[in-house]
Amino acid sequence: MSFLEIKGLEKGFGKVEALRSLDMSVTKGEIYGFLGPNGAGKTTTLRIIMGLIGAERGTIRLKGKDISFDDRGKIGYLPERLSLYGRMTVDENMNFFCKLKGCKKTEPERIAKEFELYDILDRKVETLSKGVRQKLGLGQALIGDPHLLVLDEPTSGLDPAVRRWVKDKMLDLKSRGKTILFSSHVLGEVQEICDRVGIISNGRMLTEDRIDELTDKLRLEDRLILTIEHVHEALRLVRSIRKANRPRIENGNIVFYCDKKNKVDILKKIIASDHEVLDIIIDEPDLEEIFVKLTEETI
Amino acid sequence: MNLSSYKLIFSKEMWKRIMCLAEKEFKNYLRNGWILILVVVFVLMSLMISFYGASGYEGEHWHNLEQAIVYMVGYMEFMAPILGIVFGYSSIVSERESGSLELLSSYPLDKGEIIAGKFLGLWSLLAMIIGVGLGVGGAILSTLVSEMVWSEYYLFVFGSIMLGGVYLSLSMMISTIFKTSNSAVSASVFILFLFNILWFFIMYSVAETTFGWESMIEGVSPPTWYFSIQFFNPVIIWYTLLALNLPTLRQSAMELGGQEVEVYPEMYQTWSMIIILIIWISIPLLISEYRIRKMDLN
Ligand SMILES: Nc1ncnc2c1ncn2[C@@H]1O[C@H](COP(=O)(O)OP(=O)(O)O)[C@@H](O)[C@H]1O
Ligand SMILES: [Mg+2]
Repeated sequence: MSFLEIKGLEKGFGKVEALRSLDMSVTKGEIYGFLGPNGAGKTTTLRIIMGLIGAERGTIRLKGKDISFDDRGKIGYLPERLSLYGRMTVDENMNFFCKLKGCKKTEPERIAKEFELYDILDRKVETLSKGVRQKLGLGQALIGDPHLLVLDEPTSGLDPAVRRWVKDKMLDLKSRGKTILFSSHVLGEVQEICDRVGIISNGRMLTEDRIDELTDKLRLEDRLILTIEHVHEALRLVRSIRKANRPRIENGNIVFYCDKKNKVDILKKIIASDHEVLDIIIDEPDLEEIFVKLTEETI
Repeated sequence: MNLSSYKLIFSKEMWKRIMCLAEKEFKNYLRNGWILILVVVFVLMSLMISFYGASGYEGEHWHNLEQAIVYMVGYMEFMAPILGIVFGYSSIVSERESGSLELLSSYPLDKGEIIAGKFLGLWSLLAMIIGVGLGVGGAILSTLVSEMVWSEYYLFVFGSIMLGGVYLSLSMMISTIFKTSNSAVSASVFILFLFNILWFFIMYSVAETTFGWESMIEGVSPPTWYFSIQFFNPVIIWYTLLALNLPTLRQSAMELGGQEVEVYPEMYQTWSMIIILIIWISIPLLISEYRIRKMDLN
């Protein structure tokens, strides 16, 4: 049985149909990546789950029962546009949110320690960097020890180190038994830490699958661009490698496509040859590509 | 009223949350540099007005409590609404603009609690500021005039806090209606303009086209409906509350399109004026609650 089950969700904003009969099911204890381009309807879906806006049609069930006001109070939420109270300190913000949830007085301290905020409790939030604020935002979502976390683009706009930190934290939370539903418009973010993904485009769920099955099914190829000596001879070499697909010369570089798992083998062969490789660019499959593929499939 | 809503009103948790919201609002505003500057200016102006008001400007009115109170009423007629507007106009819209309202709404709070918490926090801040400003003013007055009538002065302070509350509540309502702080502040200032300035001309035209303004000046009591219309202006209600209780003000009661106290109808009583002010605070808050419940969060 799924932990969070959404069926036939519909929502419009005037003429914009933001969600068109969207289904989703999140299993207990997993990290679910909710993937889609900007404007697809991710934020709208998550807001409806949190009861921040109403849907025109559809059901949301949590643990088999229609979701209630009380249930929502127990879900941890991180909005896409996180905004805390800038003129108040980290400590005051934490205490404020704790009191609203009716938590123990020791809760802010516990969370501050876990989220590396302990040394900056007296700093005003407006003086903090985006990364630290995001940590505080995540800490805020964990107030009251919720079982389900709903995080809207938790890694977007962060520098790589903080992004890494957030992803590790999500894995850590999963290992502690939490269920995490998070959205992203970047495939790479989702691939790394998700158990399952749901792909949304134009308010419709295109597919919902385990991440490994999805990559297989879509046969997603990386695009490699090599700057190399003696391009024309090198091209012949690349052509002789069976798993390197559609090799050609573009702007004096060699371009070819290959399956993710064959990438390293192919590169080894090329580097081992006499042609000196000056630069390698690896282009991960574009999310747009996936959407196009999936949309073609569903039509 | 059914049992569950009865429980809701008296739930201890609910009041804890409202107080928590109020405290946050109080703190957050008090730390705003602009608000602090406003407070300092307000206190200094109260000082000056009480001092010069008591001194009188024509030499013959030295140390005159009556004169001072008339000045201060004229001053608070604008100052209390301005303070209310300054605290209220951005209270919802700025949290909506910044995005913190979305986070707040994801907490297990009733929308009414958000409105109640914000209002209580901001109103206590406003009351504190008016209390300090007029308190210092009152202290100065009492050293200057021979006989300080504190009961009159307390009523004046109380009335001003109520008037500030009305404007706070009105501008909070406006803050739930408009999508940007700029349009919210404009709308709030328009209301101030309407009630404090335009109203006089409106009432004058109404009187002139019906029973005739002249007859009123000659001491003929206007019809009851004319007084009832005045209920729709909280500033008039406030002024009437003061005029009913401060003998000094009666002589200048003609000001706000008003009348001699002698011709006030039965329904103009201290208690009824207070009740109308409370209604003026409550209705915009109820509308705010409705608006915030229906709000899309963008
Ligand atoms: N409050 C709103 N008013 C009008 N249109 C909206 C509103 N919120 C979202 N939309 C529209 O709904 C669609 C989905 O938006 P959103 O859920 O924010 O997408 P995502 O989070 O996937 O980027 C977009 O076309 C957006 O313009
Ligand atoms: Mg979004």
